[in-house]
Amino acid sequence: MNSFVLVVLAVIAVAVLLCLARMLRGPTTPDRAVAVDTTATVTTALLVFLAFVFERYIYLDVALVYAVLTFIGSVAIARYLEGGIQ
Amino acid sequence: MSTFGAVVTAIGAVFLFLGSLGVFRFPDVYNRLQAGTKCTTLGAFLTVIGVGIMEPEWFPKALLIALFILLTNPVSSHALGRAGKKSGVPMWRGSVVDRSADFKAFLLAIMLVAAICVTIFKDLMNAVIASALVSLVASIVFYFLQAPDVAMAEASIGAGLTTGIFIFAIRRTVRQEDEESS
Repeated sequence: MNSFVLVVLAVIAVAVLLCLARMLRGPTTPDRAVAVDTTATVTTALLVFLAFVFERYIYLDVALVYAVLTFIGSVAIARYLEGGIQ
Repeated sequence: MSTFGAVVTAIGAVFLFLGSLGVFRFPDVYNRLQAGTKCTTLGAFLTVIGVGIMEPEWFPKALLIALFILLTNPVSSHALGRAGKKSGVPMWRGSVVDRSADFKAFLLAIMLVAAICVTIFKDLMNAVIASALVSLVASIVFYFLQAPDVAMAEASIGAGLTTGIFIFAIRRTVRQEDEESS
């Protein structure tokens, strides 16, 4: 754990915290969905970075799966909110 | 090489932070979406590519993840924006740039000037032309007020028919308005 890793982790932690605050405050449901979608992107980057920190190549697959699944989740939420899925 | 990768990763992390700051600070869902998507897409792209540069043998998979983020983030954010619009989330009042109010005021000012000219002109022919201008601009104003049928009636009757009747009357009488005829 050198200082570079700590700084990047701290910056990303603050980013996730800000998204969490927006998710809690809303005020509308799409606001919360946007906050969670942003968190998903930040987390994907974080997973790749953690794979680098732990020096495990296989951890990149987790990031890839995470990116795919959160994308599907966001689109599903959006489709529901606009009344596409009955 | 690994220093360069570290710099790219750090820049990416800063963009992730800025995007999240936008999600937290911006006034409505559309502005938040703007920050939460554009900024974090770039941030995640740079972070993942930076890791790929620091670990060169990881680069193909890192590139795959980065490209996937680059492709899917706009799609999901578009879907979310559409959902916000369709479920009736209002825009922040500062987001609405409506210049039509200024334009309507401008049109009304033209109408006022033309109407004053109608009363001032001693040559009745000029007065009729000025009153036709009043009707034409009024029909545009009606159009802006979402009343195209009224606009059409104003244009045809006000600017067309009335002007014709006035000119017919002028031909039968006198063109100049002077002291003894008024």
